[in-house]
Amino acid sequence: MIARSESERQKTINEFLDWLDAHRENLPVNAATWTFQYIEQQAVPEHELVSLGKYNARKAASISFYKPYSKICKF
Amino acid sequence: MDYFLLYSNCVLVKGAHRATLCDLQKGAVYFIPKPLADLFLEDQAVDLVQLREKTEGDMVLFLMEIIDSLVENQLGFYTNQQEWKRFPALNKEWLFPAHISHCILDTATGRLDYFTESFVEQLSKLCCNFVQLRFFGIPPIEHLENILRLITGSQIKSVEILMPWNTAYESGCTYGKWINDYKKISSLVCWGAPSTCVVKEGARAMGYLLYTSEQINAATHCGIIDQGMFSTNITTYTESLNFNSCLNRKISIDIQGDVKNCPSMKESYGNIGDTTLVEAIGKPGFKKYWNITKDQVSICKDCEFRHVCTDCRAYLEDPGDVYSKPLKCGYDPYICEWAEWSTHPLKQKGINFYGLEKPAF
Repeated sequence: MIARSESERQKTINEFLDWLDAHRENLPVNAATWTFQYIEQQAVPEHELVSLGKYNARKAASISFYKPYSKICKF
Repeated sequence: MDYFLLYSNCVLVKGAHRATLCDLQKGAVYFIPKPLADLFLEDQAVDLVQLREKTEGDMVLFLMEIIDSLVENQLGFYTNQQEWKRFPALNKEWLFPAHISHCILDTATGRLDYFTESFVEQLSKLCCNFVQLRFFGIPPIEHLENILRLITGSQIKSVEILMPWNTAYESGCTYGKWINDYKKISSLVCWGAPSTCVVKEGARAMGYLLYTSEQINAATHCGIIDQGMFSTNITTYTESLNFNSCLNRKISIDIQGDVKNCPSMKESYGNIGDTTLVEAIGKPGFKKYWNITKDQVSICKDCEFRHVCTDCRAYLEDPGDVYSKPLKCGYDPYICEWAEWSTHPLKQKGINFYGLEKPAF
């Protein structure tokens, strides 16, 4: 997948900012303090998807445990 | 705007000498002084009018500056009393859709011969999605790849592997190949390496290859409490409020094949050769440590890190007291200082009891 050009990225950002302005009254009170990041979704080839088991869930990346499994070494 | 209110993902944890504000979404911990922590109402909001009335002189300015910095760091915002109640606090329940959340498997020889399809099926029945393999001997390539293939096709979401560093594996690029080929490896830690370094940076906490020069050749190395092991997230926080943050929903098999809460603990609930994981969990006493929370553990209950830290019930400062502080924690919440636990005079009783005085740790 080819990354979008800078002008295309800026266009998307501007569209989003316009949308925020247009819907200000329907958004939470702290919407003015929101920050956002532009992230492009990378296409992952079918054979590289991770299978998460019996529910046919297939994702680009699996997920790690939310805390140390054991506390055996520190980095 | 006469109130300062924390965002619901930012929680206050009061300690004996100071408090922490834990941003459970960004994974950050901030310190705040005790006088400010004591002003929080329902651990959520500060009445700024009351702050100015109750606090004297320069202290008002000092505390207001701290609150301004908390707003800057997006931990909270200024509001009024009416608005406050429109922002509900974080739900403190810990819900995890599994009988067992994680499993630790130790081997001294480098082989886990019981790790077969039927063993994976046992893990699957318990909905155990996270596995750690701790090799204290070098696993043959074909044997480990067979285990990784079984994991790839299972519902296990991630596996962490510890194994001895080996020159032949290094020169054959075996470690890198495993990381590339088996996407469920969250980290592969090679101990006894020439240096400690991150060899391959992963992404989103998956796919890390790490070398450590430490010699991790026995379960006795476990139980270290260190700032580097803190987990600042909603799941760890809520689990810590309600359950033991190390042993809850954990199952382990030690180097003898004995099924335990943790490989470092004495109590065995049967051997994997003749006991299934479900049978072991059903035995009396298996879940007895699950409900010991940090708020019940001596000294930990006064620690400002207690809900981002994990516990250890295997090595205790006072081995006779099940509610004693973890032996391998060198933090003193009364003076807010970390010290080397292994040379601390108060730890020597525990060190001698567990036989940790040898250079094994």
